[in-house]
Amino acid sequence: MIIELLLKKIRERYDFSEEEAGLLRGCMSDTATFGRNDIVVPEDEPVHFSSLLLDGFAARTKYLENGSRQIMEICIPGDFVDLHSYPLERLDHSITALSPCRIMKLPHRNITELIDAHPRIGRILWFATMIDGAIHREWLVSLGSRSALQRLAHLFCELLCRMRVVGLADGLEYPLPINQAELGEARGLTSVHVNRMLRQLREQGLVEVRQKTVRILDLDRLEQVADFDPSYLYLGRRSTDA
Amino acid sequence: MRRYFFDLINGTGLTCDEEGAELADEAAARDYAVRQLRSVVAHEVLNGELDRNIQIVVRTSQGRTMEVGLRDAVRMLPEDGEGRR
Repeated sequence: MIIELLLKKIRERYDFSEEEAGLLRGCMSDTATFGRNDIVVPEDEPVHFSSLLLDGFAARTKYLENGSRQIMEICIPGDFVDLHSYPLERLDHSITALSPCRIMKLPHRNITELIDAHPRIGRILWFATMIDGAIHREWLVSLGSRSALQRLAHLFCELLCRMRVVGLADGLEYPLPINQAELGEARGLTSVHVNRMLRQLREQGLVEVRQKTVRILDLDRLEQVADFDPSYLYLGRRSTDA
Repeated sequence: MRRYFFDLINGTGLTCDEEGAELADEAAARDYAVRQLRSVVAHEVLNGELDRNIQIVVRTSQGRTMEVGLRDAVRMLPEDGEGRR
């Protein structure tokens, strides 16, 4: 079942019947694969479908004039990388593959038909884009107000929560196929500094990042150090049905 | 292009770079090291400390190429009594 991870995300928050899952699945079209560093969705070009990340990792990225780039969100399997391209029709940023990845297309015309006929599914998809907004706000706080150590600690806490929802965390361990330069691009740090902070996190017995795997050693203390409160991820059942 | 590694040495010891970065030549590697050092120092200052002996050692698979220290990365203004008006 190819959209299984997406369904896990939806069912974390909402009742979602097999019938509704079938409707959503019926709207999906073909898949595409990308290599590391490939542009999955280019900035400022017309887009006619949204991309669901089936496997691999991708980054919401802004490329700057000076050749550097900033990563604004890390997309994990089960995430729509650009559901918002449906109303926006183009992106103001790029989606870049951080690892080999595979996406499945959801054509925008199918979204229109689906949500016209089933407004509840429309609201559930809308919720998904709201989470992206919440993540962006939290990242702004990290960049503006958290120390280098906290920025990294916070990211590792966030990704653990999100990976758990889609069943990709193994206890306190999960894959994260990105290097220290990319961690820096996501946290407003240089790679030497990231390396230094990773060492500090390891020496303090908080988290260990090795061979593209994050292993959290002491979650309580890591969350404390990071000033991490998962409420912005809106985990768990919504109290009102969509 | 060549892979350069940037080890950081400061008060807490050595942080060895196992990933490195692909750069055009030694001049590019020096620029890169300077930018890295400035950023680390800036954050350390925000945390209320400044290690004047902080250093980045640049190396390739062939060995050490250069060291970049605080004075290479930051223009040091004279202290009071050293010609400051």
